[in-house]
Amino acid sequence: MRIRTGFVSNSSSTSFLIITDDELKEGAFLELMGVTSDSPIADLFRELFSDVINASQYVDLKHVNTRVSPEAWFNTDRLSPAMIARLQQAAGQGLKAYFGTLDSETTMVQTFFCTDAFELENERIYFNYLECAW
Amino acid sequence: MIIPFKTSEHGQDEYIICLRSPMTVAELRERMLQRAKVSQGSYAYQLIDNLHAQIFIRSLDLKADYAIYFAREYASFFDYLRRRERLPLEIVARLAEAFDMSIGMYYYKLGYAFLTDTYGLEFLTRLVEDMPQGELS
Repeated sequence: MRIRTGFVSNSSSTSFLIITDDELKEGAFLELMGVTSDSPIADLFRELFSDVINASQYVDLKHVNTRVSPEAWFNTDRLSPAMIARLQQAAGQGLKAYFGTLDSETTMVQTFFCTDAFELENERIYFNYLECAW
Repeated sequence: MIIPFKTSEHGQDEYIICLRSPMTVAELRERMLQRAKVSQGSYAYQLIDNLHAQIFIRSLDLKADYAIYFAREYASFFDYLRRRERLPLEIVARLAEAFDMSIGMYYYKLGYAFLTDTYGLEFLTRLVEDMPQGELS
């Protein structure tokens, strides 16, 4: 949790980390979230996927400097200890990482997802969506 | 039948969901999950499961509430909706008409943030509405 001073706001944001074995594609993302492409609710998750991609910094973990903290790879200080550990584990394995932030002040879909927190994983994708800042 | 409206005070989206098919809560849940085409145990599965609970377990069934607790106090279902629930007149008129045809009338408010406007109504219709287009009985 982060504490802001000097400015009162009821907006929120959530930082996310995705680690995947290949370029992140919509079909694989929908599978991770648990919907088929012809699901009547797939459009909700398609919009989330689009927002995630648009908000992401992408890093190919094959080429990172493992002697520095993963926070330097993304030029951020918002990586949680769990995210750092996961990135360090994934570095050098040829995996890809996407890191970014969604904001409750943009779309209703993002507003909803900023009220939730989860961590999902299958054999291809790891999705950490736990770091909510209010 | 799903009736959407916005509260006059905050412009918040609310829905009254009138079911006509006699189904148990468990059957409604299975129907929603089947329609949503979600994988068992997945994030999307839990989202729909929670939506079902929000609507059919935690929301007020206006018809049952009136019949059990307020049928003596209010002269009619119309009066109950106007004076106790303070629903807009046009909504009350539609619900009073649908009273005999409905098994339950669930007043769903404070739902998921993305359930707004046309998108919210379409989302709920696909999952909840009795006999949507294309579905076999």
